[in-house]
Amino acid sequence: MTFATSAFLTVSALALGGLGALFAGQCGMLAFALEGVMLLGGLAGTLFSHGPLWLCLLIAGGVGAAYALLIFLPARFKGDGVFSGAALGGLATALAMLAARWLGGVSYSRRAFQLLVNGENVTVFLPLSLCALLLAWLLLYHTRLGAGLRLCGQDLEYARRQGVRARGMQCLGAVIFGFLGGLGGLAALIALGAGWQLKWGVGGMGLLCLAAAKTGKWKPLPLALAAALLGLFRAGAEELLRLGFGVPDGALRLAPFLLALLLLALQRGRDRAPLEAFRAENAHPARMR
Amino acid sequence: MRNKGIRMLLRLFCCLAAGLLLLFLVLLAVLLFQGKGFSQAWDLAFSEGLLPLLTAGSRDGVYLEACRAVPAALLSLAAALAWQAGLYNLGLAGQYALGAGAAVLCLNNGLPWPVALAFSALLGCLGGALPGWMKARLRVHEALSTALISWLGLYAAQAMAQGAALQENVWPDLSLACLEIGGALAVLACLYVALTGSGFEMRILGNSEAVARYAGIQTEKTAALALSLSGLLCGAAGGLHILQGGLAALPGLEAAFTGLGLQGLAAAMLGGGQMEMSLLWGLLISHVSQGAQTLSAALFPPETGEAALALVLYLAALPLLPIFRRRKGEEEK
Repeated sequence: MTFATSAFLTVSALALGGLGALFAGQCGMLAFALEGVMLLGGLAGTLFSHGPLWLCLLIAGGVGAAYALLIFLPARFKGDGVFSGAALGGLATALAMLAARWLGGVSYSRRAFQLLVNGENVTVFLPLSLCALLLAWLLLYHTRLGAGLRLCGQDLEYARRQGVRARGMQCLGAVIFGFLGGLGGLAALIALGAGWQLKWGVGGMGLLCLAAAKTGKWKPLPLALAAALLGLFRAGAEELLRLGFGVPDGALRLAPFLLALLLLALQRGRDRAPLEAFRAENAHPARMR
Repeated sequence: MRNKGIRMLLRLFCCLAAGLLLLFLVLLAVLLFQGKGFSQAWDLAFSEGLLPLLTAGSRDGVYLEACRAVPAALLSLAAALAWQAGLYNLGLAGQYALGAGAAVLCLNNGLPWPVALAFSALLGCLGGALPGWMKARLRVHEALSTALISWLGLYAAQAMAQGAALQENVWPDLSLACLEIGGALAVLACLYVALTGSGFEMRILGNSEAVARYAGIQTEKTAALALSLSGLLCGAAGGLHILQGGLAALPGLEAAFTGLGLQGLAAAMLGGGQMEMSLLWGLLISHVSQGAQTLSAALFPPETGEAALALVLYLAALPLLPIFRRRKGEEEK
């Protein structure tokens, strides 16, 4: 895989997953299950990679959306979104490994996800993520539905008083989150390559998506920039690894996570963070006992 | 139910019953999925699944089982310690891996094992202190930063252990020392939270940040300290595990969402964030996971246990039973 292909795939994966996290966050839910959603969605997509492209994408998004509905339950029953997200990540890893064991391994064709544009092979995920960005921006800021979604993220009770069906909105947010997360997971698994093992999940890409969403202050366009930066950095680290400079593998692979921490640390000004909104509603974990 | 002790006991029994039932159902589902008949699957799930899970952990004697349970117990305490201050530590696996990697690095360079253990604890502590500092100074949510630390730690441990060639057991008589050190650390952590002023401040912060501020507690400093101490316990757990098990104990990337990290989180969640209860749950989960290693791989794939544990954690995070729900007015107290 060339550097350009790898970079496009990684950036697309982070942008799609980050957009999913953005939708979950905008309607007041935590997206810590993103890693699991990406893994299961991606796995389902790769299983159908030999069929028509639209079916493969639809199945990746559909499985992601179905799994993501599980994040709606903690929000509905005032449960703990962080711990349940971590649990869903573990569950997804175990389910993916069980599925791979029963299916006797997973194989996919990378060619199925390439488009021929002016004689050049371009991954289908790049136009897909650009379309998703544009649609997300239009939906969130130029429709009544988007206004309702954002209102649920800021204050659930106020949204109810304004006549918004808050739980329905959250359910819709979870479905969009899962659909985009599943597509991002498919791009991530293709970017990670054939040597990648399912027990390693999506290699922390879900967390990089979350970091991109947080750095982008839960807005589509800044999120895209953060995803591009993190994605290029990750692809660059993988390219350096491929070229081999005698640097330990782990030292290069941890670089994107350091950059994500740095971006979070450099973030200035208060964002209207959904995490804080969640915190206000559910308070500290110690109070649940 | 006003009595806290009875409430805790009820919670323990409810969790135990629900956990065992869930475990049995998962085993049954795995067997049914393999095409076994219902009655055969029922018998096999009980005789080849649940029974070995509950009894086989102590097949080599209580002493060896306790030695193997040290890392899991310390990780449970680490998660509970952060929880006491109202914080999430999702980076248990990473801090544990940092500790393990540091121990491998030191031992590989011929340093004595106490130095390796101290370096493990220090590196784990740094892995907790960084998100703690970011939380205190920069208001970065600790759940996200600790989760990033998890992957960072796992990759860093791989880098530290690259090219290392330790023997399986560096010192044959080190298991007892590890058990003693682990036990002492566990007791110290429980006493620290229960008896010291700093531990009291953490508990106040965990109950209400507003009350802690009103009482003049430096909330940022307390939060950073709680995460650092939590990281220290994880790092020490990693170091002790390497001293016991050699290079084979070094966690792989799969530890980010499975294995000891998930066990620690589940124990803290089931224990309601209380140190003693989390320790008890950590030991119980370790007992079951040691038993799980004896199950027939042909009947039950190794991932079955992880799936069941993740399901238990997910259901525990959903306060569906009345016993898990917050009582009205508890926050005001």
